[in-house]
Amino acid sequence: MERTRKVTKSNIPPAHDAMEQRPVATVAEFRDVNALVAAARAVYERGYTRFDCYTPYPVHGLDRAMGVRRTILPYISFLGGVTGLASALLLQWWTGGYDYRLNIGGKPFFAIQFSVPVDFELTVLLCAFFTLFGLLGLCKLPTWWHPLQGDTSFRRATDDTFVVAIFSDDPRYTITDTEELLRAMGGTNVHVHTAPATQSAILQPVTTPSDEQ
Amino acid sequence: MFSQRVDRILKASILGGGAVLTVGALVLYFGMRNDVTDVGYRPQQPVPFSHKLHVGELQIHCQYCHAGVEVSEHSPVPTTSTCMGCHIVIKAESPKLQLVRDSWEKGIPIQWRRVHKLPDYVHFNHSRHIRAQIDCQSCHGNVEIQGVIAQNKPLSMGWCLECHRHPEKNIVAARPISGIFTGEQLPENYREHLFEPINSNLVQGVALRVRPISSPQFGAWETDVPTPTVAGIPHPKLPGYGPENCSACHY
Amino acid sequence: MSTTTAVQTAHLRSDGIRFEREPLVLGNPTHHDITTKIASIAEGKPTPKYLLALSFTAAIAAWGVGCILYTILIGIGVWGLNNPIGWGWDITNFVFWIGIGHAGTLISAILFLFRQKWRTAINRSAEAMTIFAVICAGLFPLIHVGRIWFAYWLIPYPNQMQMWTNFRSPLEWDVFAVSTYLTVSLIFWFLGMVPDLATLRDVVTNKVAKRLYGFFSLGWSGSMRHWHHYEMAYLILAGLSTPLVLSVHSVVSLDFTAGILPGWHTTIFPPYFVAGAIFSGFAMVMTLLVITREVLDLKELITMKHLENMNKIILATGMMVGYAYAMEFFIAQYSGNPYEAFVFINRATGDYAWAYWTMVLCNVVSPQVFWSRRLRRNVPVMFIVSILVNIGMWFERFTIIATSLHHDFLPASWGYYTPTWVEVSIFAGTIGIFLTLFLLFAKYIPVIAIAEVKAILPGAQPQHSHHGADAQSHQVKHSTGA
Repeated sequence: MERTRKVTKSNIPPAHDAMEQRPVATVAEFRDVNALVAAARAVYERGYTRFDCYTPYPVHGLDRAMGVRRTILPYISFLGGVTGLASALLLQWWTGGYDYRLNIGGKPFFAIQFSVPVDFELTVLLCAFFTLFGLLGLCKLPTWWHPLQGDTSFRRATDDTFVVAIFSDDPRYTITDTEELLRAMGGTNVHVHTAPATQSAILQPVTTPSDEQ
Repeated sequence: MFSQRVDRILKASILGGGAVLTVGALVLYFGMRNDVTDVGYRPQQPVPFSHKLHVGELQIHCQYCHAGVEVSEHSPVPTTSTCMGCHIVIKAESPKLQLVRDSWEKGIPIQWRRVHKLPDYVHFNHSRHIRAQIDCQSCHGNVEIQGVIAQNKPLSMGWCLECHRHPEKNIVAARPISGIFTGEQLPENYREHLFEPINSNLVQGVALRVRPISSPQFGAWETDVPTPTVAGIPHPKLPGYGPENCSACHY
Repeated sequence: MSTTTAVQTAHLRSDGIRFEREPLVLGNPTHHDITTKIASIAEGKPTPKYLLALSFTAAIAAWGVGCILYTILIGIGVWGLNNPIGWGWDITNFVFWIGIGHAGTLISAILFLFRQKWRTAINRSAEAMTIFAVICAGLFPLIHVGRIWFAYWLIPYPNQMQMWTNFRSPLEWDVFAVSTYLTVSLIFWFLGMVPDLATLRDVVTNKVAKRLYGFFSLGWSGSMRHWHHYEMAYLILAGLSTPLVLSVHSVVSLDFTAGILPGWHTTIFPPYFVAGAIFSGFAMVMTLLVITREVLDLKELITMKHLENMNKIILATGMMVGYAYAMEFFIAQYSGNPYEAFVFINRATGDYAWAYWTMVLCNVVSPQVFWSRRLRRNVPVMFIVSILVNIGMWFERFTIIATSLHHDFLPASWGYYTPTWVEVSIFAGTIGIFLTLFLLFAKYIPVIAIAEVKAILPGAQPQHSHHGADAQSHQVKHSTGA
């Protein structure tokens, strides 16, 4: 399976000294959203796995074009909801119905009916927490550092520029071919972002498992 | 965005801060408990009075000095005259008792330091507990081996409730030294009979037979808690157990 | 990209009538324009006017906080509460502020699920108002308990008393409902803000600001792999918040309905409270937005269309509230319950009739002007109506609480309630806290959801995406290339 192949560094020459500048990624700017989607699809179809698109807002269909597999976040959230519901029921039954039964106005010590508000609230609360932390976990955030952070194009990706970056630790990465591909797909200002060798050795993993279809 | 080093420092400080907060919260939670902060409270008393001597060696009943505890909400601290009842002749010249003699002559009470103190909103009635043949030791510890008296139990609400729920596990049965007289001499095997109401068929049978307090039509949880009633109204106190309703102690 | 061509989103209806959809963003700005617009608000030095306004509201807030401290020190005896009326301004204000806090999540969650794209320009500020209002609301039950240092007893945790909270009490449900609402609203608000904070991080020049935005944006890069998860997270949170926002005021209403007092013990309360909450929340959003768009010059992003849509919702929810007022009277008569009937006759004609009729005038009569399209697009009119609705909704809560309590079952204990200066000051103080927080928000946090507005600009989305049907129906023309 090509897309899930383990990332190797075989095609990057070894660094001679720490200050040597080595390529981190080839970066291309796109101004048109349709060209961006086409480019992402082309990069994906060429078999690249270590690439990413940086956009100022979510572009519909771009994730699909990049071959990103559907997120597992809903399952995490669901787990949170189930945990919340179970803990709410357990809490109310155990405290009121088991640990300290207190007769208040002859009401039942525990009943599904009166437990509904707290059940609901805790379900929502834990579901929201799981969603938040699941999202942060899946995106590996917070990470206050990015291999491309010095790059001018990359910095404009939060403003008005679409950026496609193919990382140098991709098995298919070669400086000439990658640059050619991005240019052919209509990318402007195609350039190689470099960084000192020490830094690029600890590239942030940006790849999620790709779609195998 | 920051450099990789700052990134690592930030992440480490967030994790570290979280850990510090968690540990701090746990230390506070477990360190502020009554059984940590209050048990062992042993203030210096104005007179070097020894319970060990008076109770342990001389075998004076608790109720000799704390007279009236069996009929009162409070356990009285003995007056100077109680002390002087004996000490007017015994150790009448002891310098340790100078303060007691001064108090006796001037008519000014000795300012004993209070050890066992409950909040104002808690009503603990000594007489009820004594009449239930609960020995002083249950709450005050082994007074007869203590020189200067100290708080022996946490006196927290949870501690009260624990005993109200499981008296048979927590209560020290009435001992002769406490002076809790029930009108007749206790037999040798008195311990086996102390909780007769609890162990009796009456309660066991009630527990098995009685329906839940609330009718199950609203999904009430089935309960085996017996429901003694007074004129048809469920009474919060079960025979043999301490009451667990709020107004038993907070009224 | 949408850089040059003006785009009209017009299409032909099936009956042949051509109509033009009013654009959501005026002036045809580019993506960069929007970034610059919002960043300039955050980056500019605070003007003397801003500082004056801020110090004014902060002074009111400080006065309110002082009165809260006074209440805590002396006890709630400094309030005007008395024996029949044990809930006065404090609970009125609590319900009032919780109600204000409903518009934000409604706009961000429910309108998101209904794909109402006009929400994008106003959701950020409305969510901020939600959070600030819930903070103000939460103060009141806490100080009302009298011993605020024991307020943590409301949380079930294993303690030395071996006591647990009473889950059979609606007051305990309230603790869970309000704290969950605050937490989830905060998560929703913050999550929506992360990409915008990242945008500001990359744009601002001030070093401190850059670092702060950098820290709070969590290192957001705009990666599509992240957006993929992010969109799902946002959808899930919207889905969660939708029932949540409906539940909060329902649970608040249960504080009353679970009591057996006539005037409180009614099944209409949950929907009635929710409608009222949305009504008052939208009114407050309107009040502040009308000022904000003027002061921050956001008229191109917060357009007349947005305001008109909100006025329509105010009209609709106002009618619902009016219906509930009428229905309460009908049920009181129809049920044949003399106590119920007495309470409602007393409400309209008794000691508190002035409060009742203020409420009716403000809540039911005043929004009726919005039937006219000309009036609901008139800024001064909507400003005045929104203020009137805020007043009316406060009186609604006061009427419900005070009239039912002051004449209960026992005529011997009937009484009347007047607040003391402390209660009035605390309420004013919460208004000060609310406005102070809002002013700080409007200056230092992106007031408009930048990423979301960019995403709805014409031509922002690819032509043949999986949202193709959407794009076709609007017949969006794209201008390719810059």
